[in-house]
Amino acid sequence: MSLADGVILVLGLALTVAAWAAFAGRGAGQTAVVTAGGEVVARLPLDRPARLAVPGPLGETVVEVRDGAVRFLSSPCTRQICIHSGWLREGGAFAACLPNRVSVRVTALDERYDSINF
Amino acid sequence: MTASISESLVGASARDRQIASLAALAVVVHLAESVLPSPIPGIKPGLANAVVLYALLRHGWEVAAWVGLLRVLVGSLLLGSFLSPGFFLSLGGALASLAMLALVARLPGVTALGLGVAAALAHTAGQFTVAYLWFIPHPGLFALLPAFLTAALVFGAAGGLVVNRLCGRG
Amino acid sequence: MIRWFLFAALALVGACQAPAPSVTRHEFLAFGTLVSLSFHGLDEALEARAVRAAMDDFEYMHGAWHPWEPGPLARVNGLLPLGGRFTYPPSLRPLLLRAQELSRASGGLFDPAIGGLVKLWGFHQEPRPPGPPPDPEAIARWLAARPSLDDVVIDGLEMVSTNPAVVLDFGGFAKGYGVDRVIEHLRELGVRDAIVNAGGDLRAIGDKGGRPWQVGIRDPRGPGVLARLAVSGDESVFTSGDYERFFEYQGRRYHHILDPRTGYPARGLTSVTVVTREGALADAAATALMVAGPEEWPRVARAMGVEQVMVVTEAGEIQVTPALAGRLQWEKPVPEPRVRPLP
Repeated sequence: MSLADGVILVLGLALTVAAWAAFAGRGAGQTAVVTAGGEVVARLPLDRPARLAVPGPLGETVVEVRDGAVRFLSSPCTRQICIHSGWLREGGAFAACLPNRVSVRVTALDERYDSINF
Repeated sequence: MTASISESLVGASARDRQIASLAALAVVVHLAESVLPSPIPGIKPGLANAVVLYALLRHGWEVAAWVGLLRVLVGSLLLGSFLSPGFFLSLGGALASLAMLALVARLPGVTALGLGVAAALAHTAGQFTVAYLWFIPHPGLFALLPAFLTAALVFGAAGGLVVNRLCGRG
Repeated sequence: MIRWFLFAALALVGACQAPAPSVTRHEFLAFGTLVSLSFHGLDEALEARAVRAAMDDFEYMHGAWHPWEPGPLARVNGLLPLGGRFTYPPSLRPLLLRAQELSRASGGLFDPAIGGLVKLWGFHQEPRPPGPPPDPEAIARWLAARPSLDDVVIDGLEMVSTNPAVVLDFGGFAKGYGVDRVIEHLRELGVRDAIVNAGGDLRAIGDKGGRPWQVGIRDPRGPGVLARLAVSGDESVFTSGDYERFFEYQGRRYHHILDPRTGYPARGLTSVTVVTREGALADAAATALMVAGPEEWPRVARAMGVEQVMVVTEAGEIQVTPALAGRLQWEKPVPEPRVRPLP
């Protein structure tokens, strides 16, 4: 290994380490798209903890973002299906509170799925 | 050595034959690599780059450039991915790494090790640039960069060491 | 010299390549569920027209086919028990005829004439009125009457029922039929590439500029996506499950896919996923196979003409037909699914 090689190696290493520091563990830029009554009301980045109260015909539905995932925290509907959908994490995942007309969908950098069947 | 009939008919020079045989080798390695499973799709050992390095050290940058570009072109034609997004990613990577090689080859004392690392990192940078500008214009793309750069560092160095050995400088 | 020329020519051709396409998505509440439309490569004006058309169609169909709320189907249900011949709304004809074909093919496992049973269990309303499951005597009485679509005779624009217990409820295939009509309408407007997804059941036509649509099939047993399916050309993906509509009473869960032979919710399977071209067929087959259960489903699938099926049993075992097994990319580590060829 020559001096020139060594310099290149050190620079390359430094670049790689910097990339890890800057970009790793970012949740790949995912956001939670929240709609109320069919209109988009918020886009919440998943890497920042947040709580959002969304008004609907039945009352307030609360959506929570934590640790790279989003979920329905509370909702005035009777069946609570939205709550039971649990944490949504992957791109394309979604859940909705139909009675209160609130839905949440997770986007991803390449939208791994164009549509989800369930 | 008597010129063969094909030489006089087609006008193939010795340089053309060097390029052809090295390019063929690079394509074969490229195809073999494409069969390998990869933990992250898109990250390959880049062994074909070692052939380009070898061409650079033995025959100069121009030959290396032909070998590198022909590898991308012929490889994609054979794999059926010509003009697909993957083809453009490969091309961007190849052009970037060749440009880097042109610059770095001037450094006094540099061997295939340094060249290999520099070329591999430039190859990754080229691919990400094409991907960002054309296919995934989303900052989230760069979440993949650290892993790709690490692989480039490792495989670039390994390829460089192998070529050094072959050229008797290891 | 020649290598330069070749290279330049190829580079020029390459430069003409358009950048990668994007998918646009619209979501709205309709048809009693969340509808999601995906488009590719449409100009804004056509896309707006397409969304409007889909919204209007779903709105209309929801009203026209509701078995109980005022509308054409509810009027038919009011007249059927009287036993006389009457003229039915012509707009219902294609729906009725297709339902008859599918019901026969399923051997009666998919039977839209069981609206009376659906009401007994309370699934005719959303949300279900609170209360216990129906009395076993009430179910026995319904079973004794055993209404079926075969009891309904359609003659031109007139129909008559030979069994007063018949109540028509197309819930078992309405989503599929509705999605088919919307896809038809979109095609008439000139849309070539789209996905119409009604509450998770979808039909996809065309593709994304040569690349297939990527459909994720959610894991019926837990969170996340179970498998990925590349879809193009014209395909429907429909899933029926015991987790979609249900109620719990004294520790037991009762779901909405009723077995016409027993009068109780179907047992044995957690979910059925069917892939085929027509949405109505996919929907009816998914319903019928849920009723058929873990042993009989391949036979019924063959009878209905669907070849690509995945089922998840109550025990959590995944079974797939050979035609579908090769297409699914598992997104989660799963034990080797059991491949069940059709008879």
